[in-house]
Amino acid sequence: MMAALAYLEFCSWKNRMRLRLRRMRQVKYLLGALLGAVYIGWMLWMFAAGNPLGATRLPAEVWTVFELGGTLFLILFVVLDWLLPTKRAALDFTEAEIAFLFPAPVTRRGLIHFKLAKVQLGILLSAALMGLFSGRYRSGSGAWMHLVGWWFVLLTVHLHALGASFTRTLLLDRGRSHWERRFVVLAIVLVLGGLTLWWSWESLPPFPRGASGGWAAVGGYARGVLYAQPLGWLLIPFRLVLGPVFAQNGPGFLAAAVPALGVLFLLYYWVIHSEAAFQEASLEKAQRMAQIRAAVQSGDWHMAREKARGVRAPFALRREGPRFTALVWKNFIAAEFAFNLSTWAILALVYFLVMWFFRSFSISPAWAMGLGIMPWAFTPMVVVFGPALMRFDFRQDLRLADVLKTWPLPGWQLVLGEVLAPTVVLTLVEGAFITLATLFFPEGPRSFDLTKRITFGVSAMIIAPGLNLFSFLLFNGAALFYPAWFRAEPGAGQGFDAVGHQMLFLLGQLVLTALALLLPGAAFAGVHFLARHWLALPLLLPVASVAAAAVLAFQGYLGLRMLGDLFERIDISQEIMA
Amino acid sequence: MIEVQSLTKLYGHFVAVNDLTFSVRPGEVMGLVGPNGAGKTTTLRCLGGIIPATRGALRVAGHDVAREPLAAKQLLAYFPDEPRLFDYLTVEQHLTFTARLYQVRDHQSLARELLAELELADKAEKLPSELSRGMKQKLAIACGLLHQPRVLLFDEPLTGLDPGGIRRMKDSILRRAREGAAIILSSHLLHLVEEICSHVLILKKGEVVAHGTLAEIRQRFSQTASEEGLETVFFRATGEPES
Repeated sequence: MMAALAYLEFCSWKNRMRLRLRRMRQVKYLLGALLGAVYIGWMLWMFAAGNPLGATRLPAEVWTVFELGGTLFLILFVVLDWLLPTKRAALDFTEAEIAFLFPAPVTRRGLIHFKLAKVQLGILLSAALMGLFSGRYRSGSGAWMHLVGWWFVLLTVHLHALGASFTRTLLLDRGRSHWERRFVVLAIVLVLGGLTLWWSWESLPPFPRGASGGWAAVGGYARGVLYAQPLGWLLIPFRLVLGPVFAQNGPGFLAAAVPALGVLFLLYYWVIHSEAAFQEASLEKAQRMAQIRAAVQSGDWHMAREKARGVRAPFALRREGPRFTALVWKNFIAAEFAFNLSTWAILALVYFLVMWFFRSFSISPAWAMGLGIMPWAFTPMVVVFGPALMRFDFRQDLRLADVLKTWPLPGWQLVLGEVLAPTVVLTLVEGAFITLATLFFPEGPRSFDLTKRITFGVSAMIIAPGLNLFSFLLFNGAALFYPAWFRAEPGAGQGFDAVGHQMLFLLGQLVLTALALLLPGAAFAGVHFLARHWLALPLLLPVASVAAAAVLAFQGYLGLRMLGDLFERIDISQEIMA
Repeated sequence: MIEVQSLTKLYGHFVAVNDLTFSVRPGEVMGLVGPNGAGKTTTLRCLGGIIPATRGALRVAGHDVAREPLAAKQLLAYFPDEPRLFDYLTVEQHLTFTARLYQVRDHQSLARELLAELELADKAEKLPSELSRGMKQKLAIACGLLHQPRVLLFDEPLTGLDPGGIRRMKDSILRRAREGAAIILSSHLLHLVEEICSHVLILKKGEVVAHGTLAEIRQRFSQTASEEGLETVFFRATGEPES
């Protein structure tokens, strides 16, 4: 069984590597791979050679605080394993593994061993990354201890989650509902939590506040919590699991590893001897995961949701009228499907009401200031990342390129129909952010007054549609020029080349956007310069923005025509043959 | 209705279809058969305006596919072997969308008829992810038939359909041919081709091996006096081993 797994994993890895290497015959993948390798190598070097937490440099008090934090995290994981899930136990198999393994003469225990062996690589990789991010590799001999220590922790968490899922399933099969189980778990948590709080209140010194005690005081408090009885007894299993991670030297590590192995073995025994059935749920999970992978790879990541349901159309689509509006209509439905726009509208309304309440009744100025800055902070992110995230356009429909080609529409109308809905949606989102930012920017001696804010807000909204249209044309142009980069294919989103590809595209987007803004920027500056003597600021900026928007609109029109011609001429043979 | 003159399609240096000439008149159903890689799907895609022909002229209802693509596309329907649907549109929304694209008059009643004919009437609010493979195929067919095309291009139309669906699909194809549509049907199901096609075009490696009515093809490749099935004729014509 394990030999078969090893063969499967080795061959899969080898073929994946071969596929990626073969892909690099194309310049785009080779460039992406080089750039991605340099970037990832640089990141690793930065983490390894940087100056984060060194194992031996930190005082013992700090480690005690970390140990307490780790213990609390482990407790949280354990409680959530029992409290939240509602699904039956399912092991992560792929559809192919299920097709081959489930009908084969493999025991239940064999399947669990297969699954446990398969997760080892991921756990080891995670452990290595934890060591990397915490800078332990710089401390020489501490590196391997840290790696193995994290392996203990992650495997323990994994085994516990598996065992808990089996027991939850058994409870369900014996007629115990989720709510009954939750009630018992909550009762235990509340009783133990209450007792702990009461004991802390009675026995421990007060938690050190401010800078009075520093790390030493906090560490002393943490030690009190971890080692004082009776709470210390309750925390023993969690501290045993974390022991190897916090060991300071070889002998200490070996001493901590033995009890940690004991906990691991108990959990393993629990998992292996549980009689809960997992095959049917595993099959369902595998199918669902395959759907999610396909949806994510093809850009329809909203289809990855648990349950998809049809959504109401934004307006009635009649027969009469321009044909491209059918595409706009379709993409509005896709937008509602992907982002649940009505929910966001409600959130914006809630934000408005909260801010209005804060302002009207002068409640908590600090909170009002923090919340007031939020829309200003988010608006630039929406402008930059919105077009990358809102993929309900050609990028989503590229897999249907052969169907699109059969429609009786000129190319430019097809492109317009595809990009109009995301442009409108993004503009509305930006409009909402700008409106909220204008209304609720914190009042203060050095901030804008309302007139200035309205001037800036109106000017931004004049420019936004053209800028958004251009951004979407850019992304859709890239999808049409390089469809292979946007097409769903096995392993398309993995590897150095995929990372490099993303970086190249982001760089290209920034450069092209900067170039495209040259003319509108010149128009803005020109009008601003010419009219500055006649118009006051509240009128000057919007008028200059209108000039910039006009140039952007003209550029957008040219882009539409160009991409339309491209779509009409493009031979998608190679894409649909693949 | 469908005229193909010297169609050649190259993928790089690979010749997918070479100097193909044929025509299909109104009321005719032409079966396009051949082994894998013969160029059947490429031919249909060129006719549907999906991919450009490298050389040759293709006309649909008198419209040149390369020069007047919109007029040609308005009159044709292409049915790919795999149903291509929008994940987030319901069955009904697919039909509404198609009606606007093709400017179909009175599409509601037509859509109702089609949904009833294809047994999808109770699935109007369902998304494609909630439909079986066969139902998705039926929905793709309903969308293709909504604008009452005069030229129908089918690429393996029966894949995934249940026996009832197959029967209805065959009846539907024949009815549309009787109403004057020109139909090309690409399939590996030779008994289907034999049952509903008036003409057959056999391709191999992008070249025409045989073209004519079923009787003509049989006569040309038959070695016995008795009437042989298309399957036997196909293997003889293409030189493919029978087992």
